[in-house]
Amino acid sequence: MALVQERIRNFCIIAHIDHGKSTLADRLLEYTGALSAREMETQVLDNMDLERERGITIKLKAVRLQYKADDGETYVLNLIDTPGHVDFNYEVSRSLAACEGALLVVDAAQGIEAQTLANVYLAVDSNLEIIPVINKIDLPAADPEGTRAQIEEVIGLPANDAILCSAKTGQGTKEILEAIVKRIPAPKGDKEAPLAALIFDSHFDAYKGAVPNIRVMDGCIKKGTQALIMGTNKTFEVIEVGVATPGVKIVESLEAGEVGFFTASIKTVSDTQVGDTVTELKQPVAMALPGYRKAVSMVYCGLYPVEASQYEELKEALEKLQMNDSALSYEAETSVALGFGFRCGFLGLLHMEIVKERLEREYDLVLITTAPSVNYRVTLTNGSVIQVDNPTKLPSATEVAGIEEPYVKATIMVPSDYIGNIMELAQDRRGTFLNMEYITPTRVMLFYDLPLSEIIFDFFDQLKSRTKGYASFNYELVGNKLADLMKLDIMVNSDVVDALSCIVHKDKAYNRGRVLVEKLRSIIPRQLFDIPIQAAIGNKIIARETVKALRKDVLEKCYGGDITRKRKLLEKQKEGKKRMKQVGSVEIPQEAFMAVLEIK
Amino acid sequence: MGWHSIYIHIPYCESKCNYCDFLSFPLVEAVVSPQDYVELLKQEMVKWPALTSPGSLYVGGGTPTVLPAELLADLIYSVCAYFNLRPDAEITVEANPGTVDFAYLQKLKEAGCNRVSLGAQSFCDAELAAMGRTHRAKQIYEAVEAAHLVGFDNVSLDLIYGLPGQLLEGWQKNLQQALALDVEHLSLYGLSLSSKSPWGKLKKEGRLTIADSDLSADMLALAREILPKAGYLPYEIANFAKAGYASRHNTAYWHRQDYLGLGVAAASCRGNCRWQNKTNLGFYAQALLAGLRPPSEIEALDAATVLAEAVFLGLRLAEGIDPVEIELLYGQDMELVYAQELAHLQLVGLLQKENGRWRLTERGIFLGNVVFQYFLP
Repeated sequence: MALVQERIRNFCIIAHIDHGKSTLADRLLEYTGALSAREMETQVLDNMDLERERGITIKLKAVRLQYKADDGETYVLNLIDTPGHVDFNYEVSRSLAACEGALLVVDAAQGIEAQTLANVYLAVDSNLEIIPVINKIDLPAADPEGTRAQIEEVIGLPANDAILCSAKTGQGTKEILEAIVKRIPAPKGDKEAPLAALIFDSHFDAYKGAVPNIRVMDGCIKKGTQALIMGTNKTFEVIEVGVATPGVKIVESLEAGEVGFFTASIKTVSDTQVGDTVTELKQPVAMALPGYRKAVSMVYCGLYPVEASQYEELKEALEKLQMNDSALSYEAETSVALGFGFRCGFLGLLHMEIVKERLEREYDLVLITTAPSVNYRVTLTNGSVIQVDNPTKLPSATEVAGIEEPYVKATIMVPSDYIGNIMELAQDRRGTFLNMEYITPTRVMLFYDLPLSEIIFDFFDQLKSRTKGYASFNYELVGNKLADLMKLDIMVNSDVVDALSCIVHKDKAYNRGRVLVEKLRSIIPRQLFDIPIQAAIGNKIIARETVKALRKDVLEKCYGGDITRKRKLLEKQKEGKKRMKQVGSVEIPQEAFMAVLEIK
Repeated sequence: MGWHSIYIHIPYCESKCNYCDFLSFPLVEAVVSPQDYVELLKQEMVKWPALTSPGSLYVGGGTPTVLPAELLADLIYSVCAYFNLRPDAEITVEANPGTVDFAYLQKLKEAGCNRVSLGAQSFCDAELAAMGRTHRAKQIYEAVEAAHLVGFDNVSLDLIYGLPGQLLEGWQKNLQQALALDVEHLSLYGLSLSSKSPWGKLKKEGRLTIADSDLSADMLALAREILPKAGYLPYEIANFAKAGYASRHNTAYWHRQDYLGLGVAAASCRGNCRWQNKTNLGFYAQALLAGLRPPSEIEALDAATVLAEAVFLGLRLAEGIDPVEIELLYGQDMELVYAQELAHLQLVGLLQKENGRWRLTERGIFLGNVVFQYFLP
């Protein structure tokens, strides 16, 4: 039987990492009986091993809860989970668009962080009803009143009716559920109108294909519907529609206001991209839902198998991963130094690390990752414009008229004691100061324009270490800017090693080159001959180090005739050699290709 | 076929040295008394066929000379008798200066011992103290003098180079003092530390620095320059001897001859098989008391590994290897099997072929491990 829209509430939870979003979700599931405490594997919504290990949510999901409220009515509450990392901002905005309200969870001991703030602004932009929830009030360091004041001052939300809770002990759970029912508006779709459903997540199932999670805005979707996905203009016949409770439950239809999923033998998630609109072929809506954009890679790197024989396996693994992750892009590329591999695009560094870890862990591959790069917009002297996401592909300086690099607007929130440190760091990273706001007498928000390439390496780590972990950080892409950039090449034994090239700013080229060759000298083991390591810009050598020839490496001890021991030692040495990449006549260890990452 | 050589491992020492990762225990901590241990060795010995006469016996350790002289003499005598050692066999006992005097050495000589290998290590008292050695330079002189008085005409000294804080000059002094003693044989070992030794642990924690490979190379180069001038020929990577005094026992290892090791942790080789006795003294004793032979497991090497061993062990010797001899012994033409490797190593100047024999070049000697790896299957 179809639901009455008046008794549906669609909401999500906005929180900073570690502020207790997943634990609170667990409590809501438990309280509404969606799962018994015993069935409850903690943090049900994070369903990948990797997510649980890293304590962050990568892919989002929706859960349907049944709640009998104090007014005697039973409500359907759809909890839509959101990822909590800056790499996944777009995904967050799409799941917010599927809701009418949001719980804003703030740690009573930590206060508001930049990440939370960014998401709250997104929620406000989407006209969501926001219910402030002050969590972890059981902690000795909890300061609920201070946090309440912060919510009012910083976000400008009335917080006098903020709910105090402890997701850990369960305190406040019922109050939260009541507030969801009373304060969040019911959806106001038109059942009779043509179908318009928002895809806010999509995952790949080995048996059913790509499974989009949708919020039906208007109309109705059911088995047999000819579903037209507007962005890709592809049509699929719906096989089944269902909801997660959190166990999968097949239902007859999903109508305006409802949240659920459908299956339609869709081969890849790239056909069901987040933000896209599902409508009905025979009676389509005139306009797609607003806000859709294709996933854009921000960071690129080369992935190469250490063993050339694993190339095919890597290709298959990337294909499979992409079926479930439309933000991952890849194309074959060849490196003189590393052989056959792939240029891969990611949403950010975290996304890149996760993909690499999954490839190594789930597909048993041993990979070399080259230093990450951003996508440069290069205008050539002949007037044409190319995109360069691999430093090797940057044409020589004489052919280049100008290089533009992507910039972000960064928001950094920090206790005022650390302003100096932040300014120093931002300046060092070629940042342009925009503005500074005191949000409380002791906390400030700093705004900077920063080149994306300067924040993809270790910016966040530096930020944390220079502020004793107190800074939080968020950014959004704001476009390209012309910059004085050049390609830095590294030559090992007089040959350019393409996989070590990088694009750097003129002011930093000399220093970067010097530090990089020093680093490489310490990583590349001594071999039979002197190995010059040079950094060059164009034809000009700007730094040079030498790995001196190895002079002595011989086992002298006789071990009382224990030849096996001698042989084992030699075998071990030989094994170590095998793990290195032979580039020309030089053996280079894997870690050399990531050395550029470790340079401060 | 019989044993070409016999090795006996004595796992005791006065105290453990800081660089040592060999199997040995300070005498006071041992779970089996030396008397019982010698009995166990005799029991183990008779479990092996005696067959033809071995040409060498080597009693190593540990420090064999922490045993009472009578006990050690008795052991040597029994082993010689059971295996019927050749009358001209080389019989070596490893000794630490400070553990042997005239009377002790005389008893060894009477038992048939004709070669003494002294663990001198250094002539610098500060270095000896740092290593945790129980002797000082003075005891080295006394031990050599006593050996000569007793009538030993084949004395060897072990020296270690690359000690913490040791400079090239210090090493040169040690070499000169060793030369002044006019012994017949010198073994030189560059200090290398496994993480099991006390120094190895310190080094790993970054609290100890030893000579880097450059200084170590300078030190070996210095020895290879000085010693031949004084009549000591570098017949093996780490060993120098006056003409006719190359150690027959160690040379048997490099020639990949059959040898039998007796005692805890002792290694043996016969044909394509290698094995090692149990490395735990208690388990070693238990096996023998139960009437069993004590190897933990026998490793049968495949033909490729045997050939590799023959090549990388043979290349340690200055005389190098004759491919024809190798083919006669192992049925494989090494120049065919290793055609690529030999050509490459020749090209990079680590290996040379002269008068039908393959030998390491002077640089190849310093980079032996780089060369040897190429032959492993």
